[in-house]
Amino acid sequence: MADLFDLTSRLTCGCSVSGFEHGQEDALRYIRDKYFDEMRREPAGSYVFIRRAKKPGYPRIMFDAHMDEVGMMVTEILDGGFLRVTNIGGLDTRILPAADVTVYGKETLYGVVVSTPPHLQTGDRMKLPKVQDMLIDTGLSKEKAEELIPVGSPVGYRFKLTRLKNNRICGKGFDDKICAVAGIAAIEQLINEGYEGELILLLSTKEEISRAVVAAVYELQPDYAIVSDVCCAWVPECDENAIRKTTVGDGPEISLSAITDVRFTKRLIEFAKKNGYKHTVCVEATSTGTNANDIPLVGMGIPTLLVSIPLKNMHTYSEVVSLDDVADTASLVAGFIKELGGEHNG
Amino acid sequence: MAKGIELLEKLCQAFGPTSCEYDVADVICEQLEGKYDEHTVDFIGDHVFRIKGKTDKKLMLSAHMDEVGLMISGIDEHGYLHFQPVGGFDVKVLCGRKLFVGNYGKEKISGLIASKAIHQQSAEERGKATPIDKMYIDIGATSKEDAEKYVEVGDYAVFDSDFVKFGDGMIKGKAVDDRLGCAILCDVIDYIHENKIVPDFDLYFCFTVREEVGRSGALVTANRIQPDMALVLEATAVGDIADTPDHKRVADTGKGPTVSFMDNGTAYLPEMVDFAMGLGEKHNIPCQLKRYVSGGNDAGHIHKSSGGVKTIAVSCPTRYIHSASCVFNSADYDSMYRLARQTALCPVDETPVK
Repeated sequence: MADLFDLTSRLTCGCSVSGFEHGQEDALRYIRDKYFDEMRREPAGSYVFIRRAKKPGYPRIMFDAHMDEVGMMVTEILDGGFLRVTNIGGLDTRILPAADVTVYGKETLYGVVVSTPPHLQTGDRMKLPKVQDMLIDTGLSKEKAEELIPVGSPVGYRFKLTRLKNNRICGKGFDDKICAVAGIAAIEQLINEGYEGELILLLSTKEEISRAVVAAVYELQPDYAIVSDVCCAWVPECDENAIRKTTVGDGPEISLSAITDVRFTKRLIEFAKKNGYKHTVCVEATSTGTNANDIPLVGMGIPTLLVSIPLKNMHTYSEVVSLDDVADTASLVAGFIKELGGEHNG
Repeated sequence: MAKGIELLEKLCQAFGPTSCEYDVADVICEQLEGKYDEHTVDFIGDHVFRIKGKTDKKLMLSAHMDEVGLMISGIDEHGYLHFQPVGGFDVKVLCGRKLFVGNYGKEKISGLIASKAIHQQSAEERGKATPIDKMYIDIGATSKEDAEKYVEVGDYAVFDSDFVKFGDGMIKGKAVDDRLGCAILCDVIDYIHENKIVPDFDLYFCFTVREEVGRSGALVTANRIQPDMALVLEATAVGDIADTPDHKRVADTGKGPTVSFMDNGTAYLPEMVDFAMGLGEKHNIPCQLKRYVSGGNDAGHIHKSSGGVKTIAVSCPTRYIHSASCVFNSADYDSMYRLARQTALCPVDETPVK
């Protein structure tokens, strides 16, 4: 099995705010060199990795995980080097006051989100300002900030990857790069087991804002699409009687939805059951909230399924996943791809 | 820049919530080894280092070692830790923060304050801070039994936050309140030791406990020493943020330490305010009057102790105090160090206790 912690660290350390995923190039080249024959960047910004078939007759299978994450964008530079910002994607404002951030200007700079001192707070003290009313402290003079930070620069959560107990980890950008890690681990397993079909890894862009994945898939036209994204783990604040109580440590969650592909998804569920892969099943009848909503309708239509990794504290700098779940997802995906390949080839 | 910044980093990184200041005291004791005439520790953990002076007039220089923290109050069936705050928190700086959980003499483990994802929040919950009793700490445990292998009720948690130099001379860290005061005391002791100075005042450098809960070790220390004059070194919250009107800024980072005329615990004697500001002027050290009545510190206890003590508080302007990311200007550290040094070395007859 690939070193999941190391891969996660490489993929989540750089800038990957939606639309600004360029900070990942070191990690992307590392992945290309280790596992693939080619890598290219699609016009809309997604990265396509291809491992060419060693033998004809296999289906073309694509694994998609999005590489962008939520963040902010600088809209104005104020006196004292404070930045006004707006959100990119759905930010949870509860975790912002006094949070560490990274400002990706002409240089990579440290910043801290302003937390209004208690004596300056008026009205309801539990009410949080909107992102657009929060400021970022760069510690610079206005002149220096203007020189180093063009308006429009992205701002992301600051990278810090921490190990918790029971092989769980805490960090930023696991939505959705932890699924990319699972996909890469699956591909490594397939390579090690001598799989000879074509393998496509799509690290898609802008899922958090416009789901630009469709642009890349249009050109690729795979026979099957396996989409992987994170799902919100059940936590005690949620409804105790909820039907969907998948949480961290339960293994991959397979999504049954009328808008992905029920037949294709059921094949995966049967495969997982028959071969004893750890998994849960959930129903997201008319929306998965992921790229799997859009991929089925690209081109002539693509059989698509969604397999999710449970994650806590989504869209924060303290997202939590279990590396055991990541490994279980990788094994399930690798096994299933082999089965799909075998059917066409056998 | 004063060399104390390096020590300050070490002090800020130490685990020292209220009544668990032992790791901080260890760093200080190691730093001060052989540089004082007398070292005493009282029954609740206050450390006092004395440097004998030419006169019997006693000057107490005081900084507190504790930081705001959390105390684990229970472990639930899912393995999450519930907590109560130890010290004053703005609830809005807690959600999502990374923490170290542990206790004195125990391994510190990583955790974080968990938050229901924005996707799982109702319309009413969005845009509102989560109350403390609805937050909990996740250490990765899978059950109560699992969590109990690492944590017990009564253990503490403090922020996990690194020490970062950024911007134009700014520094960010946790526990700046009041490890900054501790570092300055160490710096002054270093200076006196290295220059083999015999001060006029009999100097008592006091590293105190329990300031953040208000039931302060500084009271015990002051009653024991019975000083003639006291200088409290602190960090104070400021609001010098864009969009804030001048009269609400309290003070400005970069313009030197603040001298308080009044806060929520003390109305300072005008002669003490004049003394501190005058000393700054005489030695060309930037200082500023704190322009807002807010906060409180150990001066509140000290000035009323043992029949009354002429007390002044000098504080480093600090943004986002009591959060994981306290921000201050290193130039202010330097100015505050110089002011503390000049106070310590001031001839007695040039002070209000002459």
